[in-house]
Amino acid sequence: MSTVTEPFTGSRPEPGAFVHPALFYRDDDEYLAGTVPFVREGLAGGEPVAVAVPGERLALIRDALGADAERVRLLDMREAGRNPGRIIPGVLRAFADAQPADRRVRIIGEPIWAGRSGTEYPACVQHEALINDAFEGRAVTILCPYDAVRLDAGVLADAHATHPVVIPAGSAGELPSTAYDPAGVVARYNAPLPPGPDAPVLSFPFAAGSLPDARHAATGAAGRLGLGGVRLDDLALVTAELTTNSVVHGGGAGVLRLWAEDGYVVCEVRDRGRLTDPLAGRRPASRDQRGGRGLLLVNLVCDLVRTHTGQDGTTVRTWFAV
Amino acid sequence: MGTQGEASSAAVGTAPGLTVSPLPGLDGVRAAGEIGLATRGTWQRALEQAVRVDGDVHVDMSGVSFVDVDGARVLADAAGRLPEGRRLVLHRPPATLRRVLEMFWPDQPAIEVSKS
Repeated sequence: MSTVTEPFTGSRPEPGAFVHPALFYRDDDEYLAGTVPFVREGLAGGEPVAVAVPGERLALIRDALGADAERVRLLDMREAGRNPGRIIPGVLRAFADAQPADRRVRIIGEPIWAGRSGTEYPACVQHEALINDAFEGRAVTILCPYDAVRLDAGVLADAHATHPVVIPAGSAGELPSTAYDPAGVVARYNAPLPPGPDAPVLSFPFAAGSLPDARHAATGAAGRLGLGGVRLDDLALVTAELTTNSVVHGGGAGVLRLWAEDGYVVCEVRDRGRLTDPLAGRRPASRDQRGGRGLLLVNLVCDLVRTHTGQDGTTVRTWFAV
Repeated sequence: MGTQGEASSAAVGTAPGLTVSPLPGLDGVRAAGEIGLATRGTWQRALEQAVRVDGDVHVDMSGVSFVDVDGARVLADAAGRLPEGRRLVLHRPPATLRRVLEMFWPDQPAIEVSKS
């Protein structure tokens, strides 16, 4: 690239500015060249550093760091970030909020890898877009690697819309992204969900008086589909929070539907309300806040959460691996 | 706890789906049923009344099958209002309540889950 400016590892962000570059890599060497100096520079400056990437990539970085790996918080994103909606509250802010306020925090976060399904992807790209609002004005740098060989061209194009700056493959310098448009991404992927089955295992209209019945119907049906133990408790909690939200905020009633799909129990709640806050359920809860934990719990315990909201109402669909 | 079979006396709060009664022999209450949107007010009033004693407050939850997130929040609020050193002791809370407390109030020192 002839337009490369200064190397990103040497750039000096404004003290309180959020920095969110996408790093494109074509092979392991480019991956390590883009990530390991970023980690080492943070450590050298006394900055807290976390790396949340898929397990096999985590192993690469860990090996390259050697003994320094012990000073870095290492997380397998396939587990910690399985549900993209969990990554901001449960991974990124969980780490950043726990650090001293006077230090810039560095995180490598790779939420999108080649194995992500088409069902997961809209939630992944919305997550990437929402990071910008979630961290605005905070002294945090989140570097997001993208596999430029194995990811689809559309995914790579989206990364230019969700990141204000990009580091092209093979480059050490960051460029402003001319396609940056995170709100546009959130809106574009706020599309109707793929239709569920015509005859789901459960279809249960509910209102205030039937909230416990809806939950019992959901846990009964999910249990018969093979969900058990803690995961069945989680489904009970998720059903309660979603149906209660419908009654309190979503027009007073809704429909709960549940079915089996590719090794998952899928549980969906639809109502006439409209979700106006795209960060709902993505902010960590402070101990003393009164409400605001329902959708957060849904994000924290589900394997995937997809949402569609608009003038006709809101659908929240949740997945539980059986 | 050995509360099974004892007659519940003088209910301090009742809503469809939840009964809260005094706990014989200990400061506190025994709850039975489910805690959700319809029963949260009953649960909240019962706990606010129960914490007005001098020592630890016991809540027998062996008869409670489900607590939602807001029901857990009410419990954490009540525990947070106890003077330092006093505890809210939960007896046999349902798994959903333990899960939510661990998720959102892991460091609340005033809540203790009893082994009995």
